[in-house]
This record gives sequence, structure tokens and C-alpha cells, in this order.
Amino acid sequence: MRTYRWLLAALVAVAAAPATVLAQEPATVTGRVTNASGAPENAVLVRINALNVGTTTSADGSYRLVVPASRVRAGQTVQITATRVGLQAQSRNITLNPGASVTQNFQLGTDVLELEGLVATGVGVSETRERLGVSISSVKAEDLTRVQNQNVVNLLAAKAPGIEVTSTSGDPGASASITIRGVKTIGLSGFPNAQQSGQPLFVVDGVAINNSESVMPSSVQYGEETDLAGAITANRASDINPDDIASIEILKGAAASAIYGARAANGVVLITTKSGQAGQTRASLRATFGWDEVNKDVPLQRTFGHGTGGVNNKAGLRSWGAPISGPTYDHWGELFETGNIADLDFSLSGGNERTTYYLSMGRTDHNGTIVGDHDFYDKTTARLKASHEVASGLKVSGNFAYTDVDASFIQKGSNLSGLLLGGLRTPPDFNNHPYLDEDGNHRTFGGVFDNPFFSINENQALSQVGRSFGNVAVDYTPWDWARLNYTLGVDYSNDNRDDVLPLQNLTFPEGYLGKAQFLNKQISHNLTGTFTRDLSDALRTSLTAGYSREIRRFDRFFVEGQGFIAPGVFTLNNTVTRTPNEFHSRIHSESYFGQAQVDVADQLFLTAAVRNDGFSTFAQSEPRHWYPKFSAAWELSETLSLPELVSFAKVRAAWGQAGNEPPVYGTLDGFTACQVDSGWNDFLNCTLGGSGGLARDVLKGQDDLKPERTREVEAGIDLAFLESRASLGVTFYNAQTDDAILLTPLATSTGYQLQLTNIAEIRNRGWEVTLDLRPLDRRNFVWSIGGNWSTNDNEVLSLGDVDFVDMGGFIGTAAVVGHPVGVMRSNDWYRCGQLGEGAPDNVVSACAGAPADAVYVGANGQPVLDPEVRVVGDPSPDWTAGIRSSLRLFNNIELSGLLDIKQGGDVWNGTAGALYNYGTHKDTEIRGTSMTWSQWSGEPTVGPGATTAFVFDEAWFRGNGGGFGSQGKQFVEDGSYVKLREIALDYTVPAGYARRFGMSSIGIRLAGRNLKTWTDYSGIDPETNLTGTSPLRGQDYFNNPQARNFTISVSLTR
Amino acid sequence: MQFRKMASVCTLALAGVLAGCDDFLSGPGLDTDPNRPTAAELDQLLQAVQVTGFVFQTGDIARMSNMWNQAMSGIGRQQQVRDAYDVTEDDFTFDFSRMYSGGGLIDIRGIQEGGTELGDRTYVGIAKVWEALIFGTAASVWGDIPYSQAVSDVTQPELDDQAAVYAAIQTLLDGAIADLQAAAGEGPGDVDLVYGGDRAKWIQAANTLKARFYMHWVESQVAGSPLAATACAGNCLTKALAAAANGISSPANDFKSFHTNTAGEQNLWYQFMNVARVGDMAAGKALVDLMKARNDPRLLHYFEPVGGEVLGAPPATETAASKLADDGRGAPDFDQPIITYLENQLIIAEAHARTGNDAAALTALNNARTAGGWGAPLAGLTGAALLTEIATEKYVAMFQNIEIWNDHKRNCTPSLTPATGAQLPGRLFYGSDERNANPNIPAPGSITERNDNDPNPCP
Repeated sequence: MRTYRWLLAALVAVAAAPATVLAQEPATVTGRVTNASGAPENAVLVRINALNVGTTTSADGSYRLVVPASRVRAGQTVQITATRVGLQAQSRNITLNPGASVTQNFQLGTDVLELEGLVATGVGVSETRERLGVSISSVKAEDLTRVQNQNVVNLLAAKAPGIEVTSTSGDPGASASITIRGVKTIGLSGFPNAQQSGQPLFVVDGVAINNSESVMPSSVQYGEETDLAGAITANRASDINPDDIASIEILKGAAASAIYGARAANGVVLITTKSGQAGQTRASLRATFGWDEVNKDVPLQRTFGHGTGGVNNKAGLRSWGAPISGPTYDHWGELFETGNIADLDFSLSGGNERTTYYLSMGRTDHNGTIVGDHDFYDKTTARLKASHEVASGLKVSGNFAYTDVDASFIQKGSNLSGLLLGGLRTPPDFNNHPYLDEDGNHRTFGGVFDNPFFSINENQALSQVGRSFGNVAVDYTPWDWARLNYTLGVDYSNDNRDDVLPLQNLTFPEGYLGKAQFLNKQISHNLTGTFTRDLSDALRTSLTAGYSREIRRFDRFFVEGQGFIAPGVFTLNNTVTRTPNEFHSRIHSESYFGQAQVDVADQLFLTAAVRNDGFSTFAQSEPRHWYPKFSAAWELSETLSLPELVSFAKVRAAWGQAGNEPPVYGTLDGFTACQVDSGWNDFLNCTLGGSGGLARDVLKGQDDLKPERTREVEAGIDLAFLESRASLGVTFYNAQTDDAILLTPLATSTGYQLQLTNIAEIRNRGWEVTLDLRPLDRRNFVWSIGGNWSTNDNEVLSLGDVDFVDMGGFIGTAAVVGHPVGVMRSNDWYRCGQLGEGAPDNVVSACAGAPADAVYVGANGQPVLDPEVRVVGDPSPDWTAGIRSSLRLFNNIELSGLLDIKQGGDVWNGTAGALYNYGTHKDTEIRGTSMTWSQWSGEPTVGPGATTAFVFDEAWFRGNGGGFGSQGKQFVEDGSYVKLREIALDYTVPAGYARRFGMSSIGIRLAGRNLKTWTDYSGIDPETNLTGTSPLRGQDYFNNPQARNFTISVSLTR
Repeated sequence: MQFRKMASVCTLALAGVLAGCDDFLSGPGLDTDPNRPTAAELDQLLQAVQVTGFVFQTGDIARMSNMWNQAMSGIGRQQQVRDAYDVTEDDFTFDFSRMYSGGGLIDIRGIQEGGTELGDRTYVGIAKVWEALIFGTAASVWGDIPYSQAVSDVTQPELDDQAAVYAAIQTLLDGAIADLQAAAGEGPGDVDLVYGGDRAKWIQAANTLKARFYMHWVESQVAGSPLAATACAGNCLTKALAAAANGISSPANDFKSFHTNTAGEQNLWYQFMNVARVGDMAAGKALVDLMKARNDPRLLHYFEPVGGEVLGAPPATETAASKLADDGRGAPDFDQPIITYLENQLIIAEAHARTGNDAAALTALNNARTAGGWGAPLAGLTGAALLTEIATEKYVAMFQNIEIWNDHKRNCTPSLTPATGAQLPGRLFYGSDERNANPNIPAPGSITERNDNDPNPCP
């Protein structure tokens, strides 16, 4: 509350200040901006370009523009323009006189296609949407703050076609993955800091930033840099305060992203932060309070107790005992509570004709859904963005942001100390309370897994992040046809992590401490020049040339200590053994780029661009690479006489190339300190006898290492109908990725074992459709509805000499030729449609004439395992869609919602598989029941036992009927969902009433995120992925569950 | 306008500064790896080579050799399965790979090249003995292996015939001896964990190794195969005797691994039996019963009694049996014998016995028995009985060594009943990692397939 009061005081003080500035005889322009139906429009930019003054409208549509006396000449006629994304811009001529007041109202038509809106296309260049030859999706500020989530990636979900957003889990601060137009790279599991995660490049205000997810290389997670265990980690783009964002452009295909060269094949997310506007000072404060809770449960049985073979036995780990007569415990519900969220955002912006500023502060306190206060994510952000025109045509600007994150997570995943692994395996008749007995000893049901409350209360996973990022820029316009810009960008972050498993934890009973520091530093210099020349009225040209240089530095300091000497002191000094694992990388890059645009007769727009990249990570054999692009857009409606129904039509086509940089140091041979293991965990260190040894690294340097390259063609059409009340956009793309990097095995007799090789080929092609309608547009009732739909067909075309490459994960995630990247490989039953050459004759004959999905059942009634490992699941969705709609009543009530639809996309429900084995899953309650395989599974059956019932008992579920058997296919489930991703109800207090409180606007909002999910998936929310932003998808193995939230916010603007 | 000009000049200057440094894309940390050194000293390479060599000689292959020859037994989990010859190419991929990659041949050759450059022939000689030890052993357990094309520019090295590898190894050892005899260069000194850089001891070890590898072809020579003449470049027995005459002269000069009580430095057998895979392997019934029947003085040095008695487990049988002696062969700091005086004497004994010189054979056998801790010398043994006694003594003496398998393949003493099937295993499968990337490597066949130097199965 104290913070709140302080902010209010600041707000009042600053809001009062401008009144004292203007004392001469200025000219004043006032007016009101309404839309086609007469409703007021806020945040419309009203500007007199000639005088370089402007302001924005407040909630009631009114504006007041003061022109300083020094700029006003009596009787001067100037053009005043009102613009806002989504509205058609309008200009009027007005006459100014010192001391006089002019009124100019605007009524702006709707612009569903947003043709007039400026779209950032990269390297500081913007273009109006009508001229774009490529498909770029834009997300506006108001769509990023409607609901509460602090990770900007999550906020993009369902808001553009061709993107797939998956949040790792509902833990506060969890990472989120975004895949744009399909996966174009094959992960390099265990390769530190590799760029093969498939995530796009994030660029903020023209400066590339770090969006890595740094995983601790600790023993708790098998020493590998994957997220199968340990606690969640953040993707670093979540350090941005969503409230600071003015707009986001998503450059999806290579044709759009080519200008970013060797880092752009996975797409580029361009973020533009808010700026101040000349004119009156605007202060705004938004306070949000909310609650979140787990949105979907794992079903558990509470009938049978701790034991085996139907007999109670407290010594074991499983729940195959006798029916319980005593009390039972809710081992799901006991772990979760309602979390709470408090978010405060304050901003102050304004300026005069030469100086503008935007200042913001934000604070989020999020205590998540796991009981107690050990799952939290507290983020504080501050940003100051300001610009000043030093002299005519010379502008300097700075944009500085600081983010502090203080977070605490709960262990998850394949982890003896994880929350759900032990928690859900707990027999229903075992009370997990108290987790410490009278003597302070850890109480668990079998002595193997941590009691979940021990995991919550005693184990620790902490993250402390400090990050400063921003830029300083000089913008110089010596002539009206030339503009030069130099931007220096800096991004520095430090993430201090502590993983503590105290004495008595069951992963390392003697105690474990992992301490890590991840330092990330990026410095970039960007120099661009833009030159425009109108050769005639019908032929306008512009040329952009640029140079950029980037330094990226990453340092990981990690030390793992084992065995605490004294309890309760979690320092490395207090451990018995310590193992360091440092990693450092430096990457320099230097790029030249140029782009030429030609507009012919305001209807044909041609763009050609090229970028040349040199990276220190490229092999010397080819130190620089070229990335060209071409695009053309033709506004048909200017030339052809189209039916009256069609108010705008544009066809566009584009071709381009973009790259994905290779991992650092992949070109080099090296030596390593060694530990030689005989294969059974008996080993000798190369420091044997006290002298240090070095062995040749098994990784052979690749003399020809180069970036992965994607070539993409896209074509599309944009149409508007009924005076722009409806619009339709359709895009087709076909992207072929060559030179995708694999870690290729070498003949060990060469002296090496592995080498990075540019050998794989992947194809992505698909369709994207957007449709926007405003069916009703009355003065007191506006209804708009829009949606996007996209489908992507991903296929691995070649992996060089091999048929598949294992990508890690649990269920044999792999790249397999002829299948999408990341399919799941496992065993299945003998299935008639998929019999291999090795299938026995009796199976083949039984299958004759049977349906393809029929299962061969042995004489005992049980299905028979096919020993051949094959593709059993595909985490890529068939299609995704987003549908949004809003209803506006009486200009001050708005109800808006967003549905997120994913059709297809398999998830491996390893959690259910393991719980089948342990006998705690609800499905195992049928134990002892006899039925045929067909009755249990719903699958058609053939074979001698097709109609033979068998007993679904412990032996079955602990064998091939459970998750620890070989048949993984039965736990691969369809992860389709329809999700009420966002819903919000806004109420704007009438302007007059707001003024009484000294505010120009007061708004109240009720909002919810993920409030409802419709899915057939049997476990937690199928929007889950144990491995975060890695290319492994659809992994559900005791991952912490997803959450939904409900918030109330009040916003005050002055 | 003045200002405009100035600003333009500034901008151009800035561009010049930025574009000026030509080496922006190279330099420390860019074209070098801050995480990995790009060069290594001879001492550092030798350290990796000997650690890798110790693991190769006393690790999984040694355990498999001792299980399959029933000196040990797999009594639990995977080892029980492996003891019943149920193995795949994955079982041997670590060892197959490690003899070539880091710490193996690539670094051994690095020492040889570096030593030659520095004129340090001592270092070169020691590295050659290591190469001979590892690749001679490899040829004995795998047969044909990639060798002449290994660690070269050839991306898919071809298999060399087993006999050709042995011939090359003998030449290599001759070169090693010549290098060491040249007494040039300081050598590794204390970094050498085997002999502390002592050239004389290395020369002795090289000679015993030569004798060992000649003996490997005796069975082939007896069977009349011309390959034996290739492998031995002459009569294997004569050559063996000549080499052994200059072999290891006393137990003090034994070639042994190096271990301490520190974690990561302990005897691998101790780590396997007492730390990593407790309860998976135990004493073999064949060896224990033999030692008990002969009242062998080493019994309690080898095995720890269970309930007052040393017990051996039948092959691949889950049963209570003795583990290695805590104060002896299973001690964490016990240095495992790899090439020994005992072996050298028993080679002399066997070679003489096979050439009819029983008196000389008996003398050598008694030398070995004295070193092995036996009391009174044996007398009066001749002919087949003498050869059997020598082979039996060697079966016990070579306990834990890979040679126990090579000796048994040749001598078939003692008589062993296979854990399953009719025959004992004949050779190891090639590692799966090698086969996956090298089309010259055949798919695994039967585990009882035999190498060229071992034409006959044991009766």
C-alpha cells in the first residue's frame, strides 16, 4: 500500500507541473475525435507535422494541442492530421493565430485492414501496411495488457496466424516457447548455448536482445542442458514489462526476416516500446489484483492402499494393496492453493516539440498455485525513454530499462525431489503430513521420493536476475531526403541461481547445492542511412543502407557441491565435494545490408534487400554469407474495376533467405580435462596421481561449418469488403531449410566421435488466413469479430546418411526422415496397418482384411508387443486458430474475448504411464476387472485372443500396460484444445465523473486468462512442456500444472 | 550548413572506426575456445593416455574376460546377463571407441610426434609401448581391427587382418626398444605412473609384451596356419623365448596400474564391486574351487570369505559368493598387475615346455611359483603334465588380467563348462558407435566366432 500512495503522490505532482510552462501567447487547437458511429476514440495521434507538435486524445475523444507562440505566424494555414492504427487517417487544414483557439473535430472511418498503420519491417524501417509484400503480423499494446501475464511470449498466443505458443507450465515466471511457421532446426541436445532451439530473434527498438533459457548443467538434471528435471527457468524476453510495449511485429518468413540475416530463420519478433508525445503530460496508473489456480487435475484413485499383490505392505513404493478401510488423502488437491497476483504499473509521458519522454515503473508480485510461499515471481521494472532535438534535424534519444527479478521455483519433472513425482505416487492411505517426524526426520512413504511438502518447504530453487538493456541513438536528417541513424544497444543480464536439496532429501541424501551465475552481455552498433527520392509523381524510390556490428558474450559459472557439513547453511564452503562446470562464449558478428524500394503509381510496391553477414562462428572456408530477398505487392483495386463489394484488393509475392547461426566453437578442435569411465560408473580422473591430463576432445572441429539456411517463397492476397467493414488475408508459404546442423557420429577409429555437420533438410509449408469483421457498428453498439487460422506441414527431407536422429527427451523424441521434426518414437502393439518385415506369419495372417488400427491380441487376451520401434506420435498441431471478439456498449463498456484453438499435436502423458505402474492413477481402480482388450482400449482387435477377457491387474500395469513397459504408444494422447485464452470486461467511468477526481479517464476491468480449457487430454492441461523452449515438445512427465487467472484492475489516467 | 557538414563528417568517421578493425571476427575467444585448450604438453597427454590405458586394461574387458573364463561370475542384474554371453555391440562400444579417441591412439600419436620434434626418444618409446599394449590387446579380443588407417585422414578406416596388426605391433615394439635404448631426452619422469620414466623397466616391459604377443599365435602355428608366420615373422615360440629373455626381471619391475584411496583414483575393481555395482559380480566357482583344491596361498589375497569360507558362484547364477579381498585384490589402492614378472616366467616355462625343454620349463615355473608365494619348488614334472601345470598356474596368476582369456583360448586349461551353449565366447563384438559410422565394420555375429590366432574351440 505504501508503494501505491507514493505513486499517487508522484502522479499528482507531475501532472500539475506543465501548467506553469506556457505563459506566452500560444495558439490552441481543441477538438474531439470520433469513429464512424460517432463514438469517441482515445489514443488517436493528432499532429501538425509542419510545426512538429502533436498530442493524443483522451478517453472521451477530446484533445487539446497548444502551439508555442514562437512557432505561430498570424493567419498561417497548416495541415493537422489524426491517425491511429485501426482507423483511417484524416487530414484537415486549419488557420492559426497567436492567442486564438481553433476547434477541429475528426470523424474517422474504420480501417480493419489497418492499411495506413505503420509496420516496422526491421532495421529501423517502417512501411504502411498497404505497401507490404510480405505477411507481417502486428500485435497492439492494448492486446498485450488485457489480461495479466508477465511473459510477453505468452501474450502472443493465438494473436497471429502461423505462431504456436506453449507455456512451459503455470509456475510464476515459467518460460514460454514460440514456434513460427514450424520447426526449422533440429536441436543439439547437450550442446551449451547452441542456437538450435528454434526460437525466433527478439529485437527491441532496433536492438537484438537475449531471449535464452539458461538451464543449470547440474546432476539433478542429469548434467545435461535440458529441462527434464530441476526447476523451471525463464526465457529472458520475459524481463520486458508488457506495459512498456507499444506494438509487436512478427516477421514470420525468410522473405520478411532476411534483413536480419543469419539469426532470422526462425522468424523475428520486433518489439517497439512506448514513447512520449509532445503535448500535455499524461500520467497513468494501473493497479491489478488477481488470483490464479490450477486449471486441470491428474485423476488419482483413493480405493486401494499401500502394498503389492492385493496385500498391504508399507515397505514398498506402490499402491497395489488391499482396499482401504481407513482415511484416504487427496494427493492432488493438498498440493495446490489459490495463488495471488498484484501488479502495479505507472507511467508518465509527454514532452514538447523538441523533447519527449516516457517513464514507467512496474511491479508484479505473483505467488503461484503451489501451497505456501515458495513459488513466487516478483518483478520490478523501470524504463526511461527520452528524445531531444538538439538542432534542426538532429535528434538524440536514449532508452534505458532495468528489470529485477526475484523468484523461487519448485522442483519438477523426472526428479526424485520433484513436487509431483513423489506427490502423485504417494499411496492414498499415506498421509503426507507432517513431512518431518517428531525428531525432525524426513517422512516419506517409501524412502525413495521426497515428500512433496519437503520438496515445497525444504528444497529451494532460487533465481535473482538483474538486467539492464536499452539503447542510445542519434538520428540526423541533413536533408529531407536523407536520414542517418546510429544506435548503440546494450543488453546485460545476470542470473544468480541456487538449487538447494538440504540434508535428508532423497536425490542426494547428504545434501546438494548447485550455484550458478549466468552472465549475458550483448553490445550492438547499428548505422543506417535512408534516402528517398521521388523520380516523378508515379515513381518514388527509397534506399536504405546499413552496417551493424554485434558482440555477444555469455559466461556460465556453475559449481555443484555435494554433502553439507553443517545443516541449514547453503554455501559451497559448507560442502564436502565441489565440481565446477564453467562455460564461456564470445561471438562477434559484422553485417552490411541494403534495401531498395520502388513505388510505381502508388499501386505497385517492389522491395529488394540483401544482407551480408560475417560471424566469428562461421568456418574460415566461407566466412561471410549472403541473404537476399525480393517482394512485390500490387494494389489491384487502384487499377482494376472490382465489384463494389470489394473496397480494397492487393496481391503480394515474396522470396527470401534467412539463416540460423551455428553453435559457437563448432569449427575448433580442442583438448579437455578428462574422466574415463568404464561404462558402469567406475572411473579414473585424468588428475590421477596429482598431475593434470588433457585428452583430445571427441568433437572434431568442422572446417566447413556454416549457418542453417532457409529459402522461402510466400504469396498472398489481402481484401477488404463493404467499405472496410470486413477484411480477409490469405498467405501461402513454402520454406525449405538446407544445411540444418546435426551432430554427426564419426567412425571412432578416426580418433574422434562427433562432428557438427550441415547436412539435414527440412520443409515447412502452410497456409495462413486472417478474417476480420465488424458486423455491427452503431453509435452505442459495436461488435467486431476476427480470427486467424493456420496450418503448417513440417517434414524432415533428409538427415544425410541416417534415417533418424535422437533428440533426447523421454519418449524417443527424434527427427525422422519423412516425418515432422520432433516426432515420438517408441514401441506399439502389433498393429495391422503398420506391420514391419519382421512381423511373424501368424500376425500377418490374422491381420488379413483387418482395419489398419486393429491390434493383434495373443491367446491370453493381451495385445502383443511389436519389437520394432517406430513413430508413434507427432507434437506438431494439424492447425491452430485464434478467434477474438469484442462488444462495445454505450462507448464505455467493452467485453472482449480470445479463443485459442489447437487441433492435433500429440502429448506424451508419461505422468499417467508412471502412475499406472505405481497404481495411484484413477484408471487403475478397475484392477481385478476382467475384460477384452477391445473393451478397455476401444481399439479393434484381431488374433486368437480377440474375444478373450483378461484380468487388468498389477502385473499388467507394471508390465506392458504401464508407462515403464516398452509400449509407449498407449500414453501418447491427442493434445488438441480449445481454450478461452483471454476474456475481459472493461468499464470506463464517464469522463465528467473522472474529471471530478482530477482524472481524464478512469477504467475498471475484470479479466481472466485460461479460464476454461476444453480438451480430451486425460492429464494436466495439454499446453505443457517439460523442456521449456527446447525443440523437444509434448513432454508431460510430472511437470508442474498449468494455471488460470482472474484479475481486477483499476486504471487512472490523467 | 557548417553544422550539417560537421555532422556528416562525424558520421563517416564513426563508420570508419567501426569498419576499421579488420580482425573483429577473429581473436582470443573467437577463433580460439575459452573452454578448451587447443594444444597440450606431452606430460598432459601422457597423463590422459595412461589413465585411459588403465581403464582399458583393468576395466570392462578385464571383467568380461574373467567372467567368461569363470574366475569371476555375474551374479546380479546386467552382469548376470552378460555372463551368460547375452551381449550386444553396445556392451563394447565404450572400450572400442576409447582406444582411438581422446586418451587413446590420437593422443599416443600426439606424444610420438611431439617427442620426435623435441628429440625426446624416451617419450616416443614409452608412447609406442602404450600403443602396442592397447592395440595388441585389442587385436587379441576383437581380431581384425582398423589400425593402419586409424587416426589418419581416412574417414572410414578399413579393418586390418589380425596377423598384420600383430606384425605391426612387433615392429612398433622393436622401435620402442630402440628409442628407449637411445637414451635421448628426459622423458616424463614422475608423470609416468608406471615406471617413473625408468627406461630400463620400459625396455623389459616391451620385451615381455613382445613375448606375450608371440605366444598369442602358438595355437595358430600348431594348427599349421601360415598366418602365424606373418604375425611372428618367424617361429612364434623361438621368438617368444628370445624376447622373454630380456623381459621383466623381477616382480619389482611389474607394469601395474596406479591407484590411491582418493575418489576417482581407486582401483576400478574396487569401485565396481564396492561402490558402483555392489552385488552384481562375485568370485567364480571354477577359480575358487581350483585354488582351494590346490591350497593356493593367494586365495585370501584374492577373495574375501563369506561366513568364514571363500565361495565361488557358478557362471551367471544369482547366489551368495565371495567378493574381492578387501585388503588384497579388491583394495581401493591396489595397483592392478598388467604386465608382470610372473607372466614373463610363465611364458618362458610354456615356450620351453612346448619345445620339449622340460628342465628349463620347470625352472621358469618354479621361479613363477616362488614369486606367487608358493613354498617348495615342484620337481619331476614333464611333458603334458608339465604343460598343464604351467597353464593352471598361469590361469590363477593372470587373475583379473585380460590375458586369462588369451591363455585359456590357447591352453583350454582348466576345463570349463560354458555358461550356456557348447562353447566359450571367442571374441568381442565391435563397438556400435564405430559400426554406425564405418561401413567397413561387419554386423555382430555369434559370440562364439573365433579369431585367426585361435582356430580351435576348447574341447
